[in-house]
Amino acid sequence: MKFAVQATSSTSSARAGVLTELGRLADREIHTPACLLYSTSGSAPYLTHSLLAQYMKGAPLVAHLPVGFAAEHQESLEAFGKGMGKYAVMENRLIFSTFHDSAEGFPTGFNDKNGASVWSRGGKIKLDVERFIKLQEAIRPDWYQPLCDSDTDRNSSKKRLQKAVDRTLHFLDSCIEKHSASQVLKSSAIFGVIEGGYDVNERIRSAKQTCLRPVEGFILEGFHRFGPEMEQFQIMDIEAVLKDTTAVLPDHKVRYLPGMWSPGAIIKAVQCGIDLFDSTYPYLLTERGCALVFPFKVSPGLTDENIWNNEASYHIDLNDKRYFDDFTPLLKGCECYTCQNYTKAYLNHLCNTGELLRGVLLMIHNFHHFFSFFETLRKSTEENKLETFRKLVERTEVTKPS
Amino acid sequence: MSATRKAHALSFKVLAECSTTKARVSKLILPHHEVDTPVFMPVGTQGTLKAMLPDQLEEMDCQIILGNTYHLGHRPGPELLEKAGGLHKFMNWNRNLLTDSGGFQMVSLLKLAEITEEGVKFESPHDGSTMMLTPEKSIEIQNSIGADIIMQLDDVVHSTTTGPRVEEAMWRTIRWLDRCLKAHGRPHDQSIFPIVQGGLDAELRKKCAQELTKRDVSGFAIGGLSGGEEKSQFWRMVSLSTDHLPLDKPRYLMGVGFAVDLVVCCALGCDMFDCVYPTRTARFGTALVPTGLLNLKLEKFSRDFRPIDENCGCSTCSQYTRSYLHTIAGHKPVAAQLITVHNVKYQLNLMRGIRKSIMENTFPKFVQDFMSALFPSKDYPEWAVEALASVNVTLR
Repeated sequence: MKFAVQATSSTSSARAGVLTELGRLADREIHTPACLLYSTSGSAPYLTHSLLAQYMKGAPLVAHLPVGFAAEHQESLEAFGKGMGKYAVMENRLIFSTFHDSAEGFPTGFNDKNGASVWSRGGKIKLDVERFIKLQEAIRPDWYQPLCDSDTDRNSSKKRLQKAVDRTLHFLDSCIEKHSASQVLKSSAIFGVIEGGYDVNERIRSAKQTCLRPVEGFILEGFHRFGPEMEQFQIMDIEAVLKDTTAVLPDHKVRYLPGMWSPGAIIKAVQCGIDLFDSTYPYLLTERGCALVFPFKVSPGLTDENIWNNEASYHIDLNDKRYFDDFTPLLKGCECYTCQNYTKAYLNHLCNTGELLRGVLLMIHNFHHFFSFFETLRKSTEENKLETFRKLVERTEVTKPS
Repeated sequence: MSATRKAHALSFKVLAECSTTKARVSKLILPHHEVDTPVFMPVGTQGTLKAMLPDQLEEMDCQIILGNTYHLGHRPGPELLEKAGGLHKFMNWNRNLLTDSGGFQMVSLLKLAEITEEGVKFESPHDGSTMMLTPEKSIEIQNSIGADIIMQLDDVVHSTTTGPRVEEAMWRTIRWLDRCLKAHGRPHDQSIFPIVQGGLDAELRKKCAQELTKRDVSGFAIGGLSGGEEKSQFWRMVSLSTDHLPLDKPRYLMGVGFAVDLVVCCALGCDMFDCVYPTRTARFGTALVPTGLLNLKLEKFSRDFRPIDENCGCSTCSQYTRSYLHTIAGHKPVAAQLITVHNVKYQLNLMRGIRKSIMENTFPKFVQDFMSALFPSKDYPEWAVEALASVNVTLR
């Protein structure tokens, strides 16, 4: 793949770029900042291939698939012989095999110098390099995250962080070695994973060392162990470390920061030099019965003052009794299938009765809203208007119910 | 022999009759859409067909689905549904709806339901207070929901009940029908169907059918069956019921949806069916196929890379393998979606095949082929053999 920066910011490390030469989907392009389509167990949550094709035409080109699912069904995948994309009916998208499921947390203490653990429905699966590469050969990803040790957080000791950095580099080298010898993985792009917790020195060491390897992009992990707890995560705690880390990374390779970041945090991360994000955040809200409604359209007359006078809200909780007889759409003016055809009252009914359709309709809306937010984010980055955009989004985050 | 009767909100025309059995193909025209019968009606209990979007149903040309009055009457309630402009609008389904009366579910779901002449007395699930569902109230709720076909409140007894209770229920059902008809607030766009009761007693059933036929209604339901009684008695009561119902009006056999039952009961002269089974079993990971069932949760499917059914044509079968479905069956919402789509398509395909063969007057052959696929060793269920023999179809 090829990544070119098209616009930079005068006040931050933000950049707008474009990914081309995307291998299997060579005629397509991805403009960054961008998000990836969350695909647990091979499918987008609640959305089959047909539903995605029909109601989510603007959905991301790249799907991120946590490797635990493939690990659990490795034998079936191998027998199938045509890769995860075809298996899960996702082959019209680029398949990015990632390590952890960023919507679920993972427990600490299950990695060592020989391998790292992932979790699936059947429980823990420990992967060493050999099994890991064999697994990737069954998956046939377009992009993949190599074996890594991301089991650290803000409280990790220096010793532990050093181990994480060293092991991850060692795993990367072993993966690259096996990757080079593999016919099947010839056209798969391998990323480098940058570890180091909150320690800026370890982060820079990890970044500089990873740069020396032939990787096609960078994944920044090891700040947390994912999962819904990330909602309480304060991105400002890692802003400095993020900036310092991206500063030593080459411009022409993408940087991916997985995790359930809120839109405000995403914008801050973009200002720290990050290009790619996952889409677990709208999924989290869907599971709660909530719909994203925060405004993000930056109109020409928008000033700091009228941002603060704007009474718009961030998200609405469809479980709330107040929506029982509210026959308006989730978000006025939203063009998604759900808002065009259903009312808050109906969604409230589906929430009360615990019906499956609740998830389908909310996921369509939340994905649509999130993907639209990214479109505006990209545009704002291209036009160097990120600060105003950030203030608009953050204003509603301040008012959101806890 | 076919006739057209324009009756308020429903018209029914028999297009072709099987020259061997009592099966017939008809066109039913309701306010929202037309319906080709015999028809299987999927059940969308709480105003949603579980994981499916109404658009997906429309795409596979589903013409009519069910809603359950007991559930909808509780949540979101009739007042809200009226405010919403009716259930069609509320759930974004523009074709036909049929609602049941709420009585059956009340009796089967609520422990303290007691039946009196006035109605069904039950304990409110909200606050434990005593409430009463009368024929008038049931119709009032169904008027608010706005389905194209609504059911009378009937006095339902369990199909295995014997003794004077069965006769009492039969007569009360007739009296409640009259109260329902009187209370009906929307005869111009909703048709009430009476329900033939009488348990497993041939005389009572016959009497009931004759009485109900005297009323000015556009169609009939056959109730009180498909509840655990012996199959050999089941089919006899179905056949007896259709024998004593007018030919020029639809016959709705309630609660029937297993493939064998559908085929046999079409042969016995039924036109409409409903059952939660296909959609419910989908959510538990079981797919319906011409040879029976596929429990996709079983390990044996982990390396089966065929679609559920090569000849199905649904969106699931055109893209997904049994192996992949096995990995998610029963525990991911997407699996419920995918298998439900298939199972509904299976049912609709089956009915389409039945109708086509009746039109072409090859229905007996269709039945034979269907049964052979399902029972390759010819171990046909005894009751089905008898039932089909009664309408001149001998299974080889």
